[in-house]
Amino acid sequence: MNNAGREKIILGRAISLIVAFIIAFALTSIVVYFSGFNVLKVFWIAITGGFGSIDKVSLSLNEAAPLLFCTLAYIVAFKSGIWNIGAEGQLFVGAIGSALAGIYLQGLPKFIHIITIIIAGFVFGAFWGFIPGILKSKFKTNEIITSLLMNFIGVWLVSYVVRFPLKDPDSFIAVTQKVQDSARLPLLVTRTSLHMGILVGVAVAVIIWFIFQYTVFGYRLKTMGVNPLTARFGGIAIDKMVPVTMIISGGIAGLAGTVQVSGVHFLLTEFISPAHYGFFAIPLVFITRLNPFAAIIASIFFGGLLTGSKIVQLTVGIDPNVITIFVSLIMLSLMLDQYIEKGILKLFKKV
Amino acid sequence: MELLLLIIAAMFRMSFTLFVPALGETISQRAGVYNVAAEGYMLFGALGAYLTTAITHNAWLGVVAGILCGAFLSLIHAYFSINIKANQFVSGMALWLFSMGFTSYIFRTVKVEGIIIDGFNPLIINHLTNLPYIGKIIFNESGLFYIGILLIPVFYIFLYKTKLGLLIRSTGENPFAVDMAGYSVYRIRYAAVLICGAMSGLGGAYLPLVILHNFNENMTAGRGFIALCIVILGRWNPAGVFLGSLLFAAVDALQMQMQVAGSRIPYPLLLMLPYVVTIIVLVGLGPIMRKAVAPRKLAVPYEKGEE
Repeated sequence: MNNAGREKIILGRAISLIVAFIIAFALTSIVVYFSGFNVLKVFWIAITGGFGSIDKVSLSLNEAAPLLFCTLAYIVAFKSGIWNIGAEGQLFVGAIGSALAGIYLQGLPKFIHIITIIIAGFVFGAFWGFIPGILKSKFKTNEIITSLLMNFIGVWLVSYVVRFPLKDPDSFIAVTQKVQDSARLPLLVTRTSLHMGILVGVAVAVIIWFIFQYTVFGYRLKTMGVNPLTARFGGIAIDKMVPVTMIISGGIAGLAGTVQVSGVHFLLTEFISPAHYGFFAIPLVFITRLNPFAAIIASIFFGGLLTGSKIVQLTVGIDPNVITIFVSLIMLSLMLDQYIEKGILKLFKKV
Repeated sequence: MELLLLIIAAMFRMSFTLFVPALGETISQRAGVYNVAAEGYMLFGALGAYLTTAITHNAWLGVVAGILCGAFLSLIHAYFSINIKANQFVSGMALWLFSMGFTSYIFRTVKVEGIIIDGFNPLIINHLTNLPYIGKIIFNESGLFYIGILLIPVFYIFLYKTKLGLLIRSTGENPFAVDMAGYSVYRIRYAAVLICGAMSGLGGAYLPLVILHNFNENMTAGRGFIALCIVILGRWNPAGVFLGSLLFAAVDALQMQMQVAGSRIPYPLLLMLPYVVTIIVLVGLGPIMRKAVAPRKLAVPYEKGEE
């Protein structure tokens, strides 16, 4: 394909994305309008509110970090043709791992402790992803359903852990003890809440891009995603690759739990995923078209929108669930994409 | 003994929320359309039924509203999966997310007076309710429950003994042949998806009207997804679907009674049980299920004139 053709396709995609945003915006506006709010005011505050000051930017980037990890987790799985829908559960279980390492390992140097909690979050999340993976390869169980059900089990597992074995005996509510000071993620900017989670996320995005672009392993994953039959005839051991992919995907989602525990709450509660990051990230994957770099941009934008929605709630009084409606509508209108895209390409040909 | 009766009675009562959506899902999958968003239709149905009943104080209007709300959401899925030919899983996930956000938003935004609704109460049928054992188990339910039970033979006869049932089954196996015979594949699939939406809405409506007399955010708690598994388990057959639903309802009922009875097992672990059992059953019956034939064109969009 020549360069001009490529440019047109990218432009077509960009326009179809914008059209999807406009459709979602229009439909959400109807909901907002009929609940008696000023549409423009709500959206203006929601979009700009998350980036107004250094504190708000910090909050937005902190929201973006778990979103980014969950989106990347889905990207790895979907690119390999595996439908892991379980990032929410993997986030919760990863959080258990990081909480354990953060609370009970004492006297470690900060650098080593941080590495440890990251590994713990990854391993626990990876384990939660491994289960649907191994069930798929050994028993041909549909991973969409198993990974989905694992979400519910993971959430109840955290509920159990914070109420019974790990409950802080001095607290009246269901929380664990605080993590050690050495297990708190370092701040990027002093006197803000901005922790290094987003940077780790960007690093993971680069690694994923590199693996898929330049390594044999990534090539095998991609082949598996495009056509499993070709992959099998090409000598790729799919039965082994599926659990391995799920381990990586689950581990990355587990890191979302890590940053929530040791960057935001500093303890484990049932409320470590207030925006349901694992579910919220599903539309983002489709918006980014499985591109890790686009995932960074999308996470920051929607992280800002999540912060903005909290500010709208405080100032205007609208329920922040309106953002979930908005995002799911983008996902729906993106399915009209191919039609919009075809239409635009036709238009280009005429011009 | 008393406890066992309670568990069995609860099993029947809870099974409604599983077999009714699963019957609808059976019809739509038989016609070749996957409805991952059954969970979402249920949530819509639950909220619609709750709000309507809270405002009108008429539970039957609530049932109608629940059915309509579920059907409305499924209509969107029908459009995307049949006309647009989008990936049915993606469309389902999007609609499920939408339903979570939308129902929570509406529930928090619309203020209704009083939180508890009357809904349906168990009917007392003279003589029958007083029968030993059986009376407490199956003759002490709400009117809605009996309608649900009636729907099982109705769906069985509809699917296997009527012309439309045959058309639906053929559409899932060989839509081209249906098209050649002069029937509209699109229309049949639309009808099947709408039936799924309506039934899921009805199943969702049962939760606020009969079980809780209240609404909670995300109160369906994955029942729509378990219903998906039940359809596979029941081999796309209404009778099998009912048996599968009883199995899961039994686990649910057991779990609830253990909580009520003050079991020493911590309650979050009990609440996990239905999902764990679903996964175990899916895995354990895997080899048998692979032989069970799913509709050949399940989740495959139909392009007119294409074989």
